[in-house]
Amino acid sequence: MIDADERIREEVERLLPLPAGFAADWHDVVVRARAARRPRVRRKVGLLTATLAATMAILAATPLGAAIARTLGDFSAWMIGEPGTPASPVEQRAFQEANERSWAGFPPGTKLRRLIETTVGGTDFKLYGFRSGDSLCLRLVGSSIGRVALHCAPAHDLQKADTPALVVAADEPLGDADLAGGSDAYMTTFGIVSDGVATIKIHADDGDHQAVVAGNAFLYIADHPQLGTRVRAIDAIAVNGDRAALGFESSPYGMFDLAAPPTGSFHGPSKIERTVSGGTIGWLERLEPRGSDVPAELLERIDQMLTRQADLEKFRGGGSPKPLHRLMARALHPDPSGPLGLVMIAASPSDSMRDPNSQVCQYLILGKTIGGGCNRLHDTFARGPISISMGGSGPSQYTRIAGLASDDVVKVKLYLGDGQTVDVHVQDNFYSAQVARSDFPLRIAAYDAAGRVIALESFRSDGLTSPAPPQARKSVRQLMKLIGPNGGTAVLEAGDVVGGYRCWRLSFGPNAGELGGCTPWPVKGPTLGFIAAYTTQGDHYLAGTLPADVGAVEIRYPDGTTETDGTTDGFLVHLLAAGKLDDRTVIALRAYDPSRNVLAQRGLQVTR
Amino acid sequence: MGRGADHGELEILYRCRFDEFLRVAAAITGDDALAHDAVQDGFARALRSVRSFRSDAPLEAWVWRIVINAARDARPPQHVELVADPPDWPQAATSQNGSSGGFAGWIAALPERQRLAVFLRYAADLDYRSIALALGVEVGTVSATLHAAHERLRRSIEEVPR
Repeated sequence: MIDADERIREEVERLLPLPAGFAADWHDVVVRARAARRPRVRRKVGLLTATLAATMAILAATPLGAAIARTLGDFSAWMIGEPGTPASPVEQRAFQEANERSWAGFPPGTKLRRLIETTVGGTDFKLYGFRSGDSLCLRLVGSSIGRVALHCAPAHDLQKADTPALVVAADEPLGDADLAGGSDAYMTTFGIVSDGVATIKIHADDGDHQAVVAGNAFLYIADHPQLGTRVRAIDAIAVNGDRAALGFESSPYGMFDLAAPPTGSFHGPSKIERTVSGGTIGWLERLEPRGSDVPAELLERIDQMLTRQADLEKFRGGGSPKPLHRLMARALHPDPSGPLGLVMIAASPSDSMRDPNSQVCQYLILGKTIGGGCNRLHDTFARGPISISMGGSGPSQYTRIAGLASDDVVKVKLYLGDGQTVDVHVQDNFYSAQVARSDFPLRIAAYDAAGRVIALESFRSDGLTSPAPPQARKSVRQLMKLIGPNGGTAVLEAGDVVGGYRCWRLSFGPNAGELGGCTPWPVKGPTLGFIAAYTTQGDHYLAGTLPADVGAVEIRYPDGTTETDGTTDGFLVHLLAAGKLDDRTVIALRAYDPSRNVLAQRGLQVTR
Repeated sequence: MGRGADHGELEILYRCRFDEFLRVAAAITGDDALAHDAVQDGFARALRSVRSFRSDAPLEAWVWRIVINAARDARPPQHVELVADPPDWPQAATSQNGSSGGFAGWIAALPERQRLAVFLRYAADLDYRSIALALGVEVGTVSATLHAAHERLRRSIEEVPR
């Protein structure tokens, strides 16, 4: 039995190779649409004039002041990259200089547009915008504020928007932290609006506010709001009075202020049609240079990270027995118009990537930030032919999805929660895309050359959600506070168990970190598996969650002495005797049930 | 009464299906650069008139028709083919050898309109109705062409054991 359709498809694939060197260029289509109204003009001739003409044509077609129902024409200024007014030469130069300092910036010549100018609390703010490829970006600058807020939305989100405005960032802090007041200096919320929008209403924890609307954008700046104050809803109001609520996700405050995950259905394929294993990246194995050279300064930074990683591996007793040599370093920019790049390092103890101890290191670069690590090339695809990493921030309304695809993959597709799909470009085995946080649940599918599904990953949310009911979060209160002899503190806060979830936080002070969240309760898992040692100000604590059947925990020091601590409502928080610890002390823990039966025991290393 | 379409739908179609349009256009023009021009010009034509698009037909079929016409317009004169369906077109299949390459040869030997029906089905995933609309033929013609493609493939496999 054969799959005739599949075979014909294969033959057709062979007959119709994709012409190389041509990329989708919608802007060129728009230019041609306008140019064709005149006698035919060859492409590239008078491009600037044609662009301007196209702009005028589309703006003329825009129903200014029309009903709030969205059409693309309403957002046309953004779609052709010309909202607001041109930035001044000085502003443009400042943007270019900042861009050039980035390791993965926007293309030279990206034209900045000035959208909004306003003054809040004595600080002058300017909101700029620009379109770079498929990214529609907003850049907020405040006088005397060193940091700049930059957030982008993908053009496809604007195209499918069913509201007259898009929130791009909510409650982005900007300014030096005002520690005395306990708040950030300014909390900024901004986005894109269509032509018909007259007013943007902000509904925040501290009341209703009105945003500044100009240049096809809106900007709301809260001046020194009380800590934790958040924007909760935003309405757009048209010139004719029609009102539309904008979909957006509030920026979480702390670890409990998380929205419920979306309840929608997953779309797209539900099963893998061909199982692929042992994926690889051929060009990397062959040390074939793809992409571009890595800038020297960036390479130096990565080498430092590689050295740290090698030291860490040595400490852990793993890694290669021989030192790794960097055989090749390449920078990939799948979307040259975007600020995202990937540096790939081929490293091996020999001169070949076929060495079993060879490693591939991936560093994702966004502007001037970099993050990543190394592992064996084939481990990258141990779980499947694509690797997936998600990145975002609370204020940003978009999550970046990026990863590597093995040679088996020709296409990656996103299936959004509203049933729409996004085709993701894969180049040199790297892919990336942005999706709105409100577009979840999300399914990511990878296809082989025959169009078969070879990888499927489903995500209910981007991670900034919690299924815990609101009452579980609201009931959090302090249960215990310990102060060590050196002033280091351990504070336990927890709420009621509601709907099978409990919200809790263990924080170590001063400013020594915290852990917790809203987790399924009672705790299931290894009896002493969630107990760890924490050090602050020279004081050492044992702390963590315990299953319900644990009544007490015994701690045995190397000198044979023991201490026993009862549990506190499912938690252990215990101050260790510093005098019985040396640089690396292994203590023994034993868990008992209320009848003093031993449930479990384990050793734990405490580093002083 | 059908609904209208807007620039956004057209841009989404363009971005999602650019590769398919380019591949099929290249098959018509026989030249990659001309194919790219045809796709860009085809979408530009569609963009100019999309607001007046009022049809119960799928937008995509309408755009395919425009792009195919643009590709035909862009083709050098020596590449112009007879587009009428000769009555014996399925016979062309049996004159080829039965190998996998023969199947490809059979497709290549088809009159253009029928060859495009195969391409639109298997390279662009269009349904029969959309293909018929895109090519300006009856649905039955599309069905017969695709049926013949299946038959030809079956014979290829029977003749050349794999």
